Amino acid sequence: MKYQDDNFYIERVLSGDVSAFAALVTKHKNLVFSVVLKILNDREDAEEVAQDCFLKAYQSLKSFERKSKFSTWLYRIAYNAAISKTRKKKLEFVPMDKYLIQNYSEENTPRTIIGLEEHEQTLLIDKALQRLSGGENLLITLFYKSENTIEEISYITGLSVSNVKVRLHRIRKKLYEEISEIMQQKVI
Amino acid sequence: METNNFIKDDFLSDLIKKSSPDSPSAIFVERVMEDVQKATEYSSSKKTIYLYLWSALPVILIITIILLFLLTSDLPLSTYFPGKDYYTQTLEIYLHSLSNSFNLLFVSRYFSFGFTVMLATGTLIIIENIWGQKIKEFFLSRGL
Repeated sequence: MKYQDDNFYIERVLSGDVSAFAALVTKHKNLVFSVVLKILNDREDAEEVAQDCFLKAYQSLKSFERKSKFSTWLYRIAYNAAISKTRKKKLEFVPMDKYLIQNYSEENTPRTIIGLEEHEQTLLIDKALQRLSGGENLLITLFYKSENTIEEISYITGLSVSNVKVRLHRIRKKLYEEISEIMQQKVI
Repeated sequence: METNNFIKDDFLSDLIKKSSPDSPSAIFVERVMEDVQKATEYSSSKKTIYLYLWSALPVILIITIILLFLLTSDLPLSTYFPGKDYYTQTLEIYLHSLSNSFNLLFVSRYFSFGFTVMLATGTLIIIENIWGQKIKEFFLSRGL
């Protein structure tokens, strides 16, 4: 299904067409759910929090100033709601092994993956992502999958811009290392 | 905007996009829209009650002012007002003694302190009730 720009639906909702909000929910449900799931690691809780997040967004739509993208604003609501649910102040990141960072084989990894079938690549990346912590997984998803900018990720997570850059740099290395390890073990 | 070449990685981006999507249940949208519908109905019914109260407020105020004027006035016409005798003989004395005893209470510093705390709490509760939603919306507009 091809969607219109978010502002089109927002205007319709604000002018009284409640049903237009369904299009916004359908368009963003997967990524909002994904953000929450990565933090909570429980599908049932994640669904409940994601549902509340959309309701909050609907109730505050009038006050959405459009300084950021609607999706970025929505992810920030989702992130904060999920963090509140875990009753932690910040997202936890597993410290990385220095040896692991210095000795990964990033250059060789892409060449090896290209030779795999598409479903094998999906299996491989799913397995590698599972090995990352919730926080690492979330940053990777926001940057590489939903294509948010560093500044947007900083706004969503409350981490500083430089902190996001450093973390992404390390997580990217770690992910390549995990991919290499999985391929060496031939677990896919 | 600054380019981040050291983390920009089209290959990884394409690969991650191939990962299995996290999707909520099939009835997710339906459930959200049910909540949204309920919230809309609740907010419109709340608006109706507020509207009714707001429209009744001037009438209540005018009636109260007229009553006070008639009860406290020395005009000969006001003596015919029903209940005026009762007010001057009983209610006025009672209200006077009530205000005196209230003044006496403030002689105690403990009472004054407690009263101040209660008054502050009450004011905060009223502010929260009146502007709470707006404050909430302000923070939510910043995604907090």
